Amino acid sequence: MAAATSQERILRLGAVFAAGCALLVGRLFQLQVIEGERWTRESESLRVRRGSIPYRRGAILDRAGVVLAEDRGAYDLQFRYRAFRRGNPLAQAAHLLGTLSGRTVGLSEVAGDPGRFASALSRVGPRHLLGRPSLERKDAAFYLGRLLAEARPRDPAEGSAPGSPLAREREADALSRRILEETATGGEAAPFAERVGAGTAALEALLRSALGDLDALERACALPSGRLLEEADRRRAEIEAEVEERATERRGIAAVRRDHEERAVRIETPLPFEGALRLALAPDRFPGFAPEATTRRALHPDAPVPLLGLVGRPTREEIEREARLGEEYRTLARTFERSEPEERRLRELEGRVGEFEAGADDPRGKGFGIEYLLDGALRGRRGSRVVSTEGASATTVLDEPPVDGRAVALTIDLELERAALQALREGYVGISDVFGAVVLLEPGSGNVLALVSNPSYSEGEYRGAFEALKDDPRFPLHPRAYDPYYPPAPGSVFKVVVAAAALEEGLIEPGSRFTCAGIEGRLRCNAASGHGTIDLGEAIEKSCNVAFYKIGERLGSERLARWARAFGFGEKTGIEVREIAGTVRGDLTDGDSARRFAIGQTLIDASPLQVARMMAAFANGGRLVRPRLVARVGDAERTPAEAPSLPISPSTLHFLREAMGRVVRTGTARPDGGFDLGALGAVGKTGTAEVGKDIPDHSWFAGYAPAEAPRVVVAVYCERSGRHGGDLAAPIAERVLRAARERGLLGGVPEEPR
Amino acid sequence: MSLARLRRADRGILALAGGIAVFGLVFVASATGHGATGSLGGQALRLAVALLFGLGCLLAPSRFLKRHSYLLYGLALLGLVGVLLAGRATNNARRWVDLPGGFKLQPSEFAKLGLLLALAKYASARRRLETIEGLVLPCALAVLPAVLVAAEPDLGTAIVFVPLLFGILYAGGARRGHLAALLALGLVALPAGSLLAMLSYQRERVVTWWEQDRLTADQKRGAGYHLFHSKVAVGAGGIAGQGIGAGTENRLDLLPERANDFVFAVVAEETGFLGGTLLVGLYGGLVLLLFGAASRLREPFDRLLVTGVACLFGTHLFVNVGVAIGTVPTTGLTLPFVSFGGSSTIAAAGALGLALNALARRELEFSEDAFA
Repeated sequence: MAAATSQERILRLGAVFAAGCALLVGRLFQLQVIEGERWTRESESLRVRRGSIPYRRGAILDRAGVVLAEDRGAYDLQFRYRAFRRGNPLAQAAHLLGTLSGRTVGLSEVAGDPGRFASALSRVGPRHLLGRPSLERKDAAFYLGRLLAEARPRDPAEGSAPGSPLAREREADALSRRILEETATGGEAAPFAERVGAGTAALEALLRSALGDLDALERACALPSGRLLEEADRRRAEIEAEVEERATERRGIAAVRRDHEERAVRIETPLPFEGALRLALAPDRFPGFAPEATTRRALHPDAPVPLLGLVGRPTREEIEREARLGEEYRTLARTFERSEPEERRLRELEGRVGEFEAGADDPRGKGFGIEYLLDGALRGRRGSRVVSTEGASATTVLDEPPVDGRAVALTIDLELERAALQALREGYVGISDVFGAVVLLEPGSGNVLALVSNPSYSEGEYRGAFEALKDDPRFPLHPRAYDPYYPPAPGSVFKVVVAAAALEEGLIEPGSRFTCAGIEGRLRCNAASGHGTIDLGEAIEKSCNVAFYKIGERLGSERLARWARAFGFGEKTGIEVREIAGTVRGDLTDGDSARRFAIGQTLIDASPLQVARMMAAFANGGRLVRPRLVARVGDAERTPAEAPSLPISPSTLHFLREAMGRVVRTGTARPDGGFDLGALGAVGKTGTAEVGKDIPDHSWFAGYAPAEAPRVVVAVYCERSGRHGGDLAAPIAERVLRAARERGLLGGVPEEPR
Repeated sequence: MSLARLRRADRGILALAGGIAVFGLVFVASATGHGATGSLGGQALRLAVALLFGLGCLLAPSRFLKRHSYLLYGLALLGLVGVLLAGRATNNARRWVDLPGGFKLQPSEFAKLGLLLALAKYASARRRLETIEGLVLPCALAVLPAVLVAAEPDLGTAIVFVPLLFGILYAGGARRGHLAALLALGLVALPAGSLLAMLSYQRERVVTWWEQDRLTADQKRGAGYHLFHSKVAVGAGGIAGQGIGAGTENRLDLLPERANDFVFAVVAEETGFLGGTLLVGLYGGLVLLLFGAASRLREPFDRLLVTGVACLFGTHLFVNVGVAIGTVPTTGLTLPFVSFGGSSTIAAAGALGLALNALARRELEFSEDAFA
């Protein structure tokens, strides 16, 4: 019997315990299932600060590995209003007196007359706080506690040192509590400042010292005096406007304000080293201001800015556009069954993920150049860092390291770019600072070795004097090499295309003879006395217009246009940067149209890049290459695009090469003692394009070298220089080809520089 | 033969204890992986030592245990006195004695074993419990170590002695009226005693526990810090949890002591309601198996010993989990086999060994009956 009772009792203990377990599970259910959402919010809003770690944007290199643009470490000045408002005496005074007076007191206002505000602070007593809403009372006590804790006299025993930040905060908290208590109990009538022994003078000194700190920071950061307080006032107004706009019933004003106040904004970038150092060494003196690691883009001093482009912070439109793209991408990716166009769009967006998945605030290419066009590849992904400020110690938990952007290797050669620009600037015999362009291509691959325009602009000019550049009548913003504002007629360099067309169409033969009397109808030849009777080779050598008038007549505008288009005129070359398509008119068949067309006038205009591409087809055996600037992105080599073959026979190509050889030996680009293209093994064709009545002619030269195994194609365009092609463009081409030979680009071993 | 007991050890109890230990290893790894004190290897080592100690208790001759219960109790008391005199002070508390080789021991954990044995022995003579005078000695047996432990100070462990005492006395046949009177006396003495004995931070913890639904920012940063963050961890776990090793409180190193006293918060944060309920279920199952087995034992000492072990584990579960979810005021008590800790794990394995020892004897008796 006894055992039975004991057994029952033990089972009863078990039942009590089981009930306890049920209680635990019930409580778990309450916390995790019923209140789960609330606690999740709580968990998310733990006092952790999410910081991000900047990545390095991909570098841009030239073909030899010279760095044209790269990211270097730098610091931003960041500003958080919340910490500033709570920690800076000026802000405390402004907010306190603002609360009590019921109007917004500006920080600059306090800074303007610290004496008056100090005396106002010293008069604040219980009667000012009594009867106010509890929130206002608490705010006022908070600010006043902090001000008085700093301004009150210290016992000699405490020493003059203000103690640790934590101790100071405790002291301020204690004062705030006391202020609230004494307000609640009616308290004495005397102002609080008087009771803790903080006089007007001490308060004024406190405000002035805070001002002095900001001044020192401004000096160290090379900012104009007063700028920081202006920024703070501006930010404060911004926050108020946003709070007004965003606060909803679900998320109260306090929560929204907190979010906006916590958000860091950039005040200045990059920060001078001295400023960053000052902030890092004494962070307590500058509540709200912090140096933030970032990067800045450094360009090679000779880097071709129009080609590379520039980076900058995004505009609001860009941020919105990227957000839209991101949304579209995610929506498409989530769609279960995609239509054909949707699938295509998704594939396209996938290739551009870097563009819109990157941090919204990261620098990006602005509008033009490689920085803009390859932005997605150049950008990396920011790393994220979580710093907990609560808990036993502030701990940094690194979540994700940043991913640097991919480097882009260009096909251009910086040395050649420099040489080409110098050649344009030096000019030739009596003319310097030639406006125009130089294009150097590899005929086989379409690799662009140099793409130079004059005039151009520097980063400083673009950023500092954009309006002046935009309104400049010389159009420096339009690189003449591929995007000229006034596309030039190619002139006689086009004659090689015309000759090839006529030969291939069977209208003439290499031995065909033409008689030139210096004039054909209303059109003149370049030699007023005429060339006499010449064959086709001589016509090219001497650039005889009359011979080509006759050829043009036989071909007609339509066929000329077809051949021009086959050589890439009238369409974009497909190079990565923004370019013009040029014009080819096949529809003008009346009068002298075909004749003018045959000498590269009136019915055709083109960029120097297109002319170089045309010449590349003669150099590489008749293939129309696509010029390209980008050789490699990250580790991935880019393969050159397919180059369609043109219907030109080897014999035609051979004939034209011989003819162009005569041009540089005895023809329009023959040596004059100052230059010798033939000595470099080059061949080519000159051009002198008429622009209009009383406007100087354009001077052209296009060719390649070495003649037998072409490695470099050159096209030189001298805008409105009033010179014949052989008198200006040809010597400039010779200078550039010589530089190419020194760089070892014409084959053989590189020469020592002269 | 005592080795035969190994084969007769209750499989269900062993399996549950093993499952709980595996649970523990996973979450000790998760918590220590994010900076909590302790390590996975350390816990495995402690479990191995605990296994040996448990085996020793399982194989110990039963007659020796019963005969020398008071002696063992006395040794445990000596340990408690020793720690107060010579213990190492950490955070103003003397709870550990250093052992050679950098190990340290917490005598209060072993005091529970001593008390178990002594109470079971005393109460196994049922007649003694029938009078109110007969309850004085067992109460003294429990109060003495409780006061010593509370002086360390370690209020959480001290409080564990109370359900142990009442559980064994109740199961041993003490009159309900007497127990109620004792409880009433305790409830009267508690406020007075606690005001004297409780340190200010302990008082504040009780206050914050009482006010847990309206904590101020200061309380969340101060006395209510553990409670608040533990509840955030548990609540944010939701139904399925944030994933093992991925809990916010755990990752950000916000919740202290989360490898030992607050390990349940990590379990609940990372595996949610499902994981939390599973652990409570496993643990509760272990305790209920012990109660059920105890109820079937005939020998009074064995029966009360197993009941005491069940009460011990049950109390640890209820208090540890209760602290993590705010049903019990914040105090530091481990969840044996799950929490990181040497003494706690070893002593718990000892208690389980003692219970299995007693249960295996029963089976032996039955089998002897069968052959008779």
